[in-house]
Amino acid sequence: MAAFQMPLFDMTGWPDRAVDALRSQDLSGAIDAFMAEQRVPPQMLLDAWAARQTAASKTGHTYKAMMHLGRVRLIAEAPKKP
Amino acid sequence: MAFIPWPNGVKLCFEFATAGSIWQTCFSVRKSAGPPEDTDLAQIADDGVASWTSTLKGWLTEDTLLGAVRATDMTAEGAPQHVNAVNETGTLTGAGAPLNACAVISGRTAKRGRSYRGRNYISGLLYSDFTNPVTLGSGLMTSLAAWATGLQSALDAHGYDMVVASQQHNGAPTSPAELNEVLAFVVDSKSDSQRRRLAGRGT
Repeated sequence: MAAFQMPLFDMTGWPDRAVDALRSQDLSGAIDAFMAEQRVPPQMLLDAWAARQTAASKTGHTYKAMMHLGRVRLIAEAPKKP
Repeated sequence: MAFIPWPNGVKLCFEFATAGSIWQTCFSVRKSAGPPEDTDLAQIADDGVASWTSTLKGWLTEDTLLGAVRATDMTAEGAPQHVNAVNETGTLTGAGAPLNACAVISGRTAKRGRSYRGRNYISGLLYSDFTNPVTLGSGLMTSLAAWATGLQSALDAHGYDMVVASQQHNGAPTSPAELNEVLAFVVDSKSDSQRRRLAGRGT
């Protein structure tokens, strides 16, 4: 299982709540802060959020996150069968 | 409509009541080898209850009761079913979102088109798990995805696949149903509405 490493973010122009959330490594909270202001979260933040789910997955699922029609989508893909 | 058999198929339904209003969400399951026996139905229902206990229970309000988990053999009309009575509520306290505000878990197969996508509506959510009136919080999204994938993984370990059962083609019934394995679950950040009419309404 891949360990999750927190990437470095350029937080220029981010909502204050998102900055605060990220200081405590709360990726969900940072995404929610963008969504609460009807702003699109940066893809890098979504990628880090999904990577953390993948690293924490006990079922071997891999996670991806993307924006689609103004929505965040979290995609959980089943492990490939032999 | 005449009964449509699902080859080796089982319908796994979670039957809820939120403040007395009944709703349910159902997954389609297929035994990997051969038709399901009574022991398979019991195992599938047990996997459903275990997924409730480990994940879903912690994301629904205490107003929301899971009455039962029901596994129905769909290979023939009048085939057996197995019911696990649960009678437990969710654990969250606080204001619940209105019952028609749902999260949607979409099951994706290798094929495109509505016949090949599953949709599971989850209600009984806590309002503070939304970031605004239309948007689900990312923690809620993650947990619902984890619930679906955890259930898929538990079923897979016992020899069952989660599938999408397609019973119609171009508006006409197809018999038997076409079952396609779910390869990915997608949870969307926008809240949706249950399209199925709630029991006791509109009469």
